[in-house]
Amino acid sequence: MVRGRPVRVVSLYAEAPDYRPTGSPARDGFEGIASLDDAARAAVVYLREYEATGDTVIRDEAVRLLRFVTAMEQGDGEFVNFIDSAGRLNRDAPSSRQSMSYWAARSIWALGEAARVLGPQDSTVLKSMRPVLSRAVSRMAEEIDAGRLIGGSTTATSEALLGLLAAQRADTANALVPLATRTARLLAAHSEGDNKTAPWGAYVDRASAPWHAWGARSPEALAIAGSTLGHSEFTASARKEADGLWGRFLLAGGIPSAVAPNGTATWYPQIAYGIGPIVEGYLALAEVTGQRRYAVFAGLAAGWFLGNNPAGVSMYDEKTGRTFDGIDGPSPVKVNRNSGAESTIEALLAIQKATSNPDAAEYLHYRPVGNQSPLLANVPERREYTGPGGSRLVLRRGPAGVEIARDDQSVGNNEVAARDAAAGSDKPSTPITLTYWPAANPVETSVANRLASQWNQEHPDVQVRVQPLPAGRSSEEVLLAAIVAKATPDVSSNVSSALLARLVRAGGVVRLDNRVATSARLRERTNSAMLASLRLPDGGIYAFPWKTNPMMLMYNVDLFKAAGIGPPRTQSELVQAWHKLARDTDGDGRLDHWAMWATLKTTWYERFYDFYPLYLASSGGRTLVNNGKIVFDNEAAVAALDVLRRGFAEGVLPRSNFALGRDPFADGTVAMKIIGPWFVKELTDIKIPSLHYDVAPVPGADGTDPANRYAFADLRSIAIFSTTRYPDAAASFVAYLTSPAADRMLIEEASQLPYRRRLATDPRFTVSLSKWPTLSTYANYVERSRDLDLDPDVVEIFDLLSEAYEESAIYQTTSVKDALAKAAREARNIVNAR
Amino acid sequence: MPSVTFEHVTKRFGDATVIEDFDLQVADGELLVLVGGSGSGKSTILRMLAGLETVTSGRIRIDDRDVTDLAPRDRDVAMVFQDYGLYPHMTVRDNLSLGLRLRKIPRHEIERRVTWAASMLGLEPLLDRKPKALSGGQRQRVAMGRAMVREPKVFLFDEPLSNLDAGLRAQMRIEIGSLQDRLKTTTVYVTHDQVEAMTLGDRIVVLADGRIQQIGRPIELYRTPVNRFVAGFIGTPAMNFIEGTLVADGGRMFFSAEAARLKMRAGTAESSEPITLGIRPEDLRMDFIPQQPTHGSADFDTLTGRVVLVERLGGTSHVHFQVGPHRLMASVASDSLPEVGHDITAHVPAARVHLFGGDGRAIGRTAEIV
Amino acid sequence: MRAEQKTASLMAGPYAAFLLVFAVYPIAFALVLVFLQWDLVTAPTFAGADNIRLLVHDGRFWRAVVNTFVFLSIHVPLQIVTALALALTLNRQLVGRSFWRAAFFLPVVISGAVVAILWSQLYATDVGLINRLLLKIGVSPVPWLTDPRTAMPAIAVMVTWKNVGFYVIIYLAGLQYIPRSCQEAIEIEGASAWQRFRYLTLPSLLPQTILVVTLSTINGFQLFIEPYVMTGGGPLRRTYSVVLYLYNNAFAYQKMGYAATIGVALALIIGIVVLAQRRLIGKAEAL
Repeated sequence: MVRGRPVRVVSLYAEAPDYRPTGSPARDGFEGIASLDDAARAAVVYLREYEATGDTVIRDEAVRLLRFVTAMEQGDGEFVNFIDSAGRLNRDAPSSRQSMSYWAARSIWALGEAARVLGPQDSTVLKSMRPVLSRAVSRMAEEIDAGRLIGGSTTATSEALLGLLAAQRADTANALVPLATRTARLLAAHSEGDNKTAPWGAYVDRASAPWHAWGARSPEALAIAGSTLGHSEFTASARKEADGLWGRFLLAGGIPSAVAPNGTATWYPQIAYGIGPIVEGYLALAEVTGQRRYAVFAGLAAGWFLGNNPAGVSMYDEKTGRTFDGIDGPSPVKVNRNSGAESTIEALLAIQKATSNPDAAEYLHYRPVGNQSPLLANVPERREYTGPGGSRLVLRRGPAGVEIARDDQSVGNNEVAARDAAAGSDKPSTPITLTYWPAANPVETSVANRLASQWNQEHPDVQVRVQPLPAGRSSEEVLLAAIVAKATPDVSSNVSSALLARLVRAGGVVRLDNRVATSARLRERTNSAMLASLRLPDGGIYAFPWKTNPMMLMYNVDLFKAAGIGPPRTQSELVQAWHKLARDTDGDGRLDHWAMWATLKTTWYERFYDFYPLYLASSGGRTLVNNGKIVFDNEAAVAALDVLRRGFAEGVLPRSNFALGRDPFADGTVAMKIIGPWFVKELTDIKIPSLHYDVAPVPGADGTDPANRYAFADLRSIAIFSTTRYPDAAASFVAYLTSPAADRMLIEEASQLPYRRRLATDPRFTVSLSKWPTLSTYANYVERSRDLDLDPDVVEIFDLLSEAYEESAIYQTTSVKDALAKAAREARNIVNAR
Repeated sequence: MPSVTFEHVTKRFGDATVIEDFDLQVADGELLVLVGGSGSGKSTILRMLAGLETVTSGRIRIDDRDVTDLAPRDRDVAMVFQDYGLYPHMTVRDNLSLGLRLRKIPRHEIERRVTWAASMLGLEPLLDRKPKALSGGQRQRVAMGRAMVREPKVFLFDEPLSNLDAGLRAQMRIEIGSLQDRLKTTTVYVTHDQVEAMTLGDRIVVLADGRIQQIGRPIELYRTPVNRFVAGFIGTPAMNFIEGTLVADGGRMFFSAEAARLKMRAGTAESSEPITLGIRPEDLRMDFIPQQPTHGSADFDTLTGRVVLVERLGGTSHVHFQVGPHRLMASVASDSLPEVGHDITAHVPAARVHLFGGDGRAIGRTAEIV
Repeated sequence: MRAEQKTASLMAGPYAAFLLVFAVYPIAFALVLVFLQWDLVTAPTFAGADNIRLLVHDGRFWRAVVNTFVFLSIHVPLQIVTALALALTLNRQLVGRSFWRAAFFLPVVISGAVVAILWSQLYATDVGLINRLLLKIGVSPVPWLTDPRTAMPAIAVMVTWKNVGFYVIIYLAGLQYIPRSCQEAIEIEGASAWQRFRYLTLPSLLPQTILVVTLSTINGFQLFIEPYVMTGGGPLRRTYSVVLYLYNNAFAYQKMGYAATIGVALALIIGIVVLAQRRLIGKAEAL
């Protein structure tokens, strides 16, 4: 308990062999048992884990830690660091005094991340944090504007900067931008040396101070500052240390713990706190510059945790999450098996990020070949690394720092290396070819071609050949034919869920969550809630969820204004809107303009545009069939059919199938349409300048909770067929197809949405989404949507529902309840007959 | 009153004139035969009478009623076709009765007529058969029966026996003849067979190229053909023809051709045109001189030649012999026949000789038949 | 004779192989499928008589059969009447006769899907040509394809239009075979044009009519492309034909075994119907 509130703390230390949590020993002056320093960084770890998985237990842990953080603030933006076992603050120790120092900087970092991750949803939790953050920020500004690094440390300043940037990304109403810019500018001035002169661009607290591995966060902070604030000079500053100093580490084959201003390296003790920031710095640069090599370097560096260190011991224990403190040495090389909070936290931060990056993830197990260079001034021009399976990676010095001279892996190409090794050859021989089938429409085919040619340039050993499906055929048919003929490609996108269920049962597709590249991408792109409905009974993910198109209610803004109404929020309002918008404009006594067109066609997939979205808007996430049990005979389905029935019975829904080649929404004949985001591109292509439209959520039945509305989204996945000879290479390609850059292309060219977590608020996609009207609104429903059930008879069930729709809604020959009951009964018969 | 009258009837198909200015009267109850080769226009005339062809100009009357513009069904005629025209999907009884049923004749009357026609033609056992179960002759009789029950004003026969074999044809000829005697209905009968014409017709009209060559009783056409065409058409076997000229010699007219010189009848007029001499094979009388060598010298009233072919036909035989360049035939009794290669002498009775001028017209016909 | 036999086998060989692969094998495979369950992707499983039992109790299947009979009851008579009428008209010496004959035959050779799309447009309730013409004469628009009562008849009319050229040819050939003498005889006998038709032409065309009935029945049972393109089987499943149900089972629900069962059942039904037709007509002929 601190100041009357229950908080969570993190024990400072844990001694081997029993790892009981202990407090600060006498050596350090009995600081206390737990520190804000650690708690703040732990909070960042938890927040990022919650972001990745959506696990609310983890979120609650983070919130408790954050309460501790806020409890340690003294009301003026300054913080105290340590507490004792009774929860009393240690205000005396220099490492604990109330101040704007390291622990304050880390608190800003934690609070900033909290604002970003917890976002608009958890406003109650943030209410208590925001004032603390703003006070701390103001206090920080005092230091920065005086030209002082926080705590006199580049580390602390960069961590505080990270907090500012995180908070700013969450809330772009930007009180923080100017301060962040000034902070970055101040930080950038602390780089010493250059490519040729020691210490080769290192960020140091003062010109005469040594560079410490621990907390070398400046490149990470500056890189992110450069992209978030739009100042590319900050990114260039970040690269100074990354390309200069760190490049020498790579060529030397090891990471020292300190570097003197004249370039002399101190190699021991190596601590986790020293490796982590380098990994994260490289990853940030990879994302900001788009250069893959940085991701590779991050993987190499992160390998320290997994055994790529002088002791050859894995420092990170996967089962417990503990990381050893470090390696003392040089000889004998001794592992310090104690596991302090710092080590574990830093390790977790780095590993979290590295395993979420497909490129980095593949190099975690590479080791340098040959002896480590003792002198950084005298590193070789080339350094070779070998990976599992014998694949080789060769780095060499280049104009931009360190470049990749040769890469057997070519991301995921263990198979080529194995083949070459088996053939006894030393050089990569003929490249392997993967065949890729994109969707059958021209836009997606052109996106596929662009991505494939970019990939082909970067991966000479693995060439991808795009084979577009014949236009006008559904990919279902073509894939089915290919499956029967055993002529499937390596990779195919646009695989529907219905087909997927069968494919998995037949063992026709490769499992993806246990392959390095795709599992890393899954971690980066989605959280576990998003993957839950895609997991098969064995827990595996067998197709990569690529894009999703949630259905929303698109409406004609002008027509609504003229009718004096806003977009309907409930089904009653929907019917009212139908009445208001149905008009007879040519005076022949018959209505010719309508509010909405509910198709009279009974083909099963037509229900995607009427019944199913209306049903999902009220069913609170319930779909049609779950694990072989029919679950759609409920009030939501009755309501969905009934509202349609009312429309037809009251004569406000048109009884026609509008002629081909003419979209009634586009020409103003109907004012509303339930449709997905791909339609935005179609509308834009038709070029109707007078058409102003917007989207709103599909209305639910009266009395249902708007917060519990789900959209129907036809999820399309990318699958790797098990006939492929190169599953790892294919997995890497799939990870490439779903990278942020590829997803941006998908949005910008096809107006469709990638299946990404927090798409609506992820700043990497704001610009792309804003290229099309309404797409940002659509993005809100990416995670609040339901796809078709993965049931083999789902098509037939939709057919039964179409019949019910016809009978009860259009022609009203039976009551809604009876029609639905009949459909449910017949559906149960079908399912039970299996 | 004549039963059928053709007045200046002309028929054109497009630019081709098939019948030109045809005049004819058929007496009531008469069996008139139209005979000629193919393309002579005989069928066209019949069909114009039936109403199956239109008349380009002229009038046709039946019993003084102008039927030229009437449809066939209103002309009160009945037709028997070459291929019978029986309705294949109906029984004989229905075939016979259809026309009456169409005209709404009362049922008992239909019964009566059908029974009457059937008995007359021997069709009683066949009444319930379909045409495909009948022989050719039976079918022809049904066709006739069908015409009979109508009790029309005129019967029209369009080469009805052409599809039958020779024996049947002979038999049917007799039947048609006897039928005609009994019914006494005016009949117009078209055939290309001059034997039918000669045996059946009360009068015969010989047609060629749409024009009447000669009308008359059979014996008239036989004895006094008015032109070479009729002469050659009527009579079996056909008349012999020799081309030559008339030459006067010592007050007598001679017919002169290569290897032939014949004395003509007294009163034969002089003529400078080329002349065709015709003599029927049955009018030639034969002498043979098996031993005497011959040199084809012409003799008055005789032609001398060498036998080239002898056709033995039972009672009569045809002897083909060569007189110079002329190939002739004599029809003689089969009692004593020459051999091929023998020489023979044929006597040409001047009274039976026919002479035709350059235009084919018979000349020198002032004297009576001898 | 041996050599002749060998030549004969060689000549017949290619086509026999073709038949074997494309006719005999699929039929045999279909018969086997009746006893299996297979979704094209996973391995087939043995199903015993399940498919057959399901079919017997399958309301949707029998409704499709009823629909098909409704279709036939409109289509076949209409086909006979229109084909015959057209054949009689085209048998005369009309101006541009060859043109008209070709024109009527053209729909037969055009792809069924194209014709179906065209007629969907014609039948469209609001913008279709047919309703617009009706409007001009004061008739309010008929929802041809979306009213359960008119949908199947509309399709029947369309299919009749499409195939009429084929049957016109058959009838035209038949008309040539009526002997001219019969036609002239009946004219002389006193028949009016109608009587000529009734007593001579129509009975003479009985073999052709039998052919038209048989062919259009067999064809009608295989009705597929029109409901598939134009109505999707609606409205209220009134145009849901047997083959459409087969197609959906095979390619939408991916139940190949059941689809094969439907196919075999359809073949049996066609066989029975055609046999019954022959019997009836045979009796009529004998009369």
